[in-house]
Amino acid sequence: MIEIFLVFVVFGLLGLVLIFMNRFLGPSRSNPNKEKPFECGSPYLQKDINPFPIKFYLVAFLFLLFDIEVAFFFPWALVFKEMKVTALVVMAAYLSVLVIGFVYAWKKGAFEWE
Amino acid sequence: MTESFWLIPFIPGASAFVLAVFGRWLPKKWVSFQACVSVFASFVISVVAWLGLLKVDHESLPLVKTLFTWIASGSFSANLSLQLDPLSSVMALVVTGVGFLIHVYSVGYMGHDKGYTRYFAYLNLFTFAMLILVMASNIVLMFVGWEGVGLCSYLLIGFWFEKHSAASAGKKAFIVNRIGDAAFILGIFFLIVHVGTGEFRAINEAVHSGHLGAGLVTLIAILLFIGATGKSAQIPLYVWLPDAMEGPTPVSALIHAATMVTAGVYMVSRMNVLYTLSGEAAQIVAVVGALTAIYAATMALTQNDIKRVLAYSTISQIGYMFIGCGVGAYAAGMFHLYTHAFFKSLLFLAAGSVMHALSGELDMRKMGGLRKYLPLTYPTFLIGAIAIAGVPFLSGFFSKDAILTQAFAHGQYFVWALGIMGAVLTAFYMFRLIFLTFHGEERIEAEAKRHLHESPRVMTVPLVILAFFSVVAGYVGLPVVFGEKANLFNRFLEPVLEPAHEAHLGLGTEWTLILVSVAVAICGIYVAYVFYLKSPQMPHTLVRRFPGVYKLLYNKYYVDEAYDAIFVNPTVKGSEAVYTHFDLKVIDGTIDGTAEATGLAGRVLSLFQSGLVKDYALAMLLGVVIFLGYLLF
Amino acid sequence: MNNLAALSPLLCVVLGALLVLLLEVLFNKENKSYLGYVSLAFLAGGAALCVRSWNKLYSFFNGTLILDNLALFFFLLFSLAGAFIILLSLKYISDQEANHGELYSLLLLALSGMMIMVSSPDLLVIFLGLEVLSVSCYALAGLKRKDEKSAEAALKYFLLGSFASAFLVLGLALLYGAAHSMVISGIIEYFQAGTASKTMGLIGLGLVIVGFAFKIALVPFHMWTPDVYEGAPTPMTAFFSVAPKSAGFAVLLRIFLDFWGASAETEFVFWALWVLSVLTMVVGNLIALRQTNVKRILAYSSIAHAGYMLVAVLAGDQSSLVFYLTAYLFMNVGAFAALIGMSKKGKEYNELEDFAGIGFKYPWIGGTFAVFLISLAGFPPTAGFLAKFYVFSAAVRVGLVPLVVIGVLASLISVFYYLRIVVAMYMREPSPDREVTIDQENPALFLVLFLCLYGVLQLGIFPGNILTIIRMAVSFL
Repeated sequence: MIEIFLVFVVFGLLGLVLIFMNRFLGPSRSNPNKEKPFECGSPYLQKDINPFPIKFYLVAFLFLLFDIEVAFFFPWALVFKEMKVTALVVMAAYLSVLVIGFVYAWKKGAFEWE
Repeated sequence: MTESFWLIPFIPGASAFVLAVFGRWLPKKWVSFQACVSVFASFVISVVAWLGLLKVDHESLPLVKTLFTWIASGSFSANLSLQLDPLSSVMALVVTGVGFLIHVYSVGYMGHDKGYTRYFAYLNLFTFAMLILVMASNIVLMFVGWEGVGLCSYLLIGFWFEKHSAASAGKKAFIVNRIGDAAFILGIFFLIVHVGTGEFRAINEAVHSGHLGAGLVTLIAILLFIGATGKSAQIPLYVWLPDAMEGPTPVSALIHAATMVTAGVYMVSRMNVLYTLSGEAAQIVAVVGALTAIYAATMALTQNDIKRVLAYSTISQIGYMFIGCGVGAYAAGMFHLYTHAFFKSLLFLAAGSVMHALSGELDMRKMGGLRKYLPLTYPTFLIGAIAIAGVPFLSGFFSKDAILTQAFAHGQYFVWALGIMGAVLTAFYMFRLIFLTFHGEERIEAEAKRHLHESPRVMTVPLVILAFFSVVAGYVGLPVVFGEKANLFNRFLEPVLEPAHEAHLGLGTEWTLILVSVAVAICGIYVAYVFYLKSPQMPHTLVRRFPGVYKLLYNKYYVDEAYDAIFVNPTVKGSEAVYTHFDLKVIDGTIDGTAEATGLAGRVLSLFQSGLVKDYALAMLLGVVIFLGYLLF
Repeated sequence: MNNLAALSPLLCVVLGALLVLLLEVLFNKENKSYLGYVSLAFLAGGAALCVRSWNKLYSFFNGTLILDNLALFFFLLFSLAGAFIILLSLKYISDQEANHGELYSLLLLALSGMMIMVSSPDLLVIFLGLEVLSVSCYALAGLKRKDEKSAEAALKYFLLGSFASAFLVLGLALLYGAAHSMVISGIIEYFQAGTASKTMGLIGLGLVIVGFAFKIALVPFHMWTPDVYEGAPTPMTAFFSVAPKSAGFAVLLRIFLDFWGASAETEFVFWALWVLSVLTMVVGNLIALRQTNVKRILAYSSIAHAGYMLVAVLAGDQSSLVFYLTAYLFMNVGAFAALIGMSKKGKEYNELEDFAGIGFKYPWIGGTFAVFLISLAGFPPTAGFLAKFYVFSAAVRVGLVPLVVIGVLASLISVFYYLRIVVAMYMREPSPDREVTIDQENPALFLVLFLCLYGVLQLGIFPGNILTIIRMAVSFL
């Protein structure tokens, strides 16, 4: 079990070293060009960084959410026969919570692109 | 209705609260009405509860009402619970009954004072605290009431705090009481440690079953009694009571005559098992009581201030009550407490009426011949004086006689003798007061004489009622010579104060003792008559013959001066020295140093709080590593 | 055994949360107060159901949800805290650009998470509850969406919180691997039984403790606290400082109830917690000395208070811990309520300088705030004094004298910064260039102030009744 502890020690030290090594070892020669983002030698094509539209995140997030919720249907389907009515009640409760979430997202306009 | 006895203290309490918080906005009439009615309501409930109590059989006493658990710490708990038994019933009746009359009287007496509302708030608060004191079912709650009445006493003595003497008298009362309270609370601690609870029933059982060693019982009894000497103004802690007369006169009547100062007697009666078991402690109570009775009486002989005479008289009379308790006749002590409440508050209120008539004059040398100007005050004052002097068929005669008879019957001849001597002096100084104030030549100042008037109805009616009770109150406790069952008062108190403590004498001896007290009273009155009416030059001759004795008495045995020299000044000087040398240098220096050091530590530690998430996460990780490392190795 | 009554209070609160969520989107009104009242109604319903279940020991889900008296007591405590926070939020959110009705829904969900935490003996379910609580809290911290500090607080809370949750899950996994049980009693049995090496279990337990130490902000897992508390909307800060802490301690109370002295290993855990307790008391109070922002002072003070509560855990005295939590609820929510009172539309006054002379200018806010601070500092006759007294005396009874000495010294330090605020309020002249005017049209706030004041004094002067209830609650364990 000592290994687990070692993992903590190693990664903890690594984190320390990585944070402070830079500060101690590296020479600190700053110039305006260095401060610019995307320091890779070539002049950048656009004036600013063009961020990804946040709508994509939202859609991805909602998709992930409801997709994973649906995944819970599979184990339910497996034990449905043994559990009889209880299973129905439980799933009904689960679904109604989901539906409320869905209504909320809808009404908040999460599904509208513009 | 009997079950609702727990309301008795809370009605004046609620009224005090309302007056203190909203009093500013209430009209004066409403203030008077509310303050008086709240006490009267309590009185009515007390009466009903008392009637109900007569029907309850002894086994189910006391009736206890637990309102809620107040303190719970480890195995110890104290409830906010009140109890009703004959003893607390008597006290509640006295406090609310006399208290009500004094409230009414105050409406007239304090009518023009600018602190009117404040006054009634304090007075109601006092009634509340006093009722808590006498109705508490455990000693911890009783102590709350005990301190509560002390606080109110302080507030009311210093009621006219603009006056320097009033403010310092209040302070003196508070500090002297604190000395007694220190011993009292030590006694409570001993009781709680050894009994495990402060409930009176449990204490009684524990003492009865002999759980506590004899030495311990004596120690506790003495500690509690020291507390009583503070509150009830006995030797050596009596010094605050004469100064307490700086307060308004109705306050002197209520707090410093009828109720609060007798709390010590009530406490000793309540804890009577302790004193019955410990002969030494009881003997101390009896001797201190007897010495105080005569000592205070001698000081009353020479005072010229009408209220101070009454104050010393109060100290002396409480001494008698302690004689009763000390010789084991608790019922007699309580009986004297009960009659004393009537005639002493009567005397104070009547004295207040005299002051009122004379625009605040207190010096008896500037009175005389007032009889014809004060047609109601004079007879009531006279009745009070006759009652306290021990003239037969008035209340004071029965109660004082009961105490002295019991002292004699228990073989305490020394105590008895002191008591008899005290009785002569009592009769003498009371009638000296009467003769100087109401008889003889007029020595009133011209200015005062122009305003001379009898007090209004609101003040005289309480006087008449109190005078009535001063006459008849004694008939509930007739001596044995009138029959074995004649003493209703004792029989009522039997469930609490066992009659076994009463000793009996032959009828012949009883009659003899009664005749002796009567003779003594009449003798005292006669001497006063001779000194102050028949040949007024006699006192001066005496003073000239024994100037030392007179000076000693006039200056109250120089006790105040002695206390100042022995206790007060060294304490003040010593604390100043400690302040300059120890506090300023050592303590302040240490604290400043510590403050600087902690400030520095705080500065260093807050350096870690950089505001960067990565640093925080790293610190957490380090914490985990160290924490786990510790757990493993 | 299975009784739906066990589920009913929780169900009531969750239903309330869902309903509020629906109402918010369906009606989308500008004034959100009605949502607050709906939430209050559901909280009251939940509380009523709790009271009905007192002494009944209902359970559900085959014993993974047990309504013993302790759980019920905490349910009531949380409902009270939730109700206070809702009352404080009613006006605040519209005044401070945080006008989102989701607040009430999230608050109720957080409460439901805490209810799960305190009513389950199963660590996995407890973890579930903890996550429901944490996720709601992350969102609550960022309620002022347009405010940079609030967003920063939410992000910091989220990042570090997930970090801590990761430790917790790892610890649970190890613990399950070692003990083959997730139930608290099973884990204690594991530590009591046999002589085989328990290193794995110990590491697992250690990590679980770290996870909870983060939630209740013990030093050195406290770094997030001041930043999050400062950035979050003030009513939420009040909530964070009281509710999750109580839930965390309720879990620790259950874990360590029969734990001490079970075996040699428990000794290690004991001393590890001992050190955490000392660090928390000392560091929390020391850093607070340097702060000039009242919100931050209260944040550090809440860290320090966690240290005192840990003393009660170490002393193994449940009733004093529960009493402390109860007292702490009233005094801390009260203090924050006074702080919230120091605001007007679009402006909050949190700097110490803003408080100069407030005691005379706004006597009600200043006066009650002073009482709460005095209670936090632990002076009689307030609840804070008795709470500390019970905890420390319990610790002395089991012989933890050095710990108590350190605790008392630490609370002495704390007197300084609490009184600094009082001194500012009453003894300093307001500086002319800092004009402080506050909007006092907030009856709900004054209701909370009054109730907290009542609680602080009732617990400080007549603690008897509450103590009796608390003893009933812990005697069921």
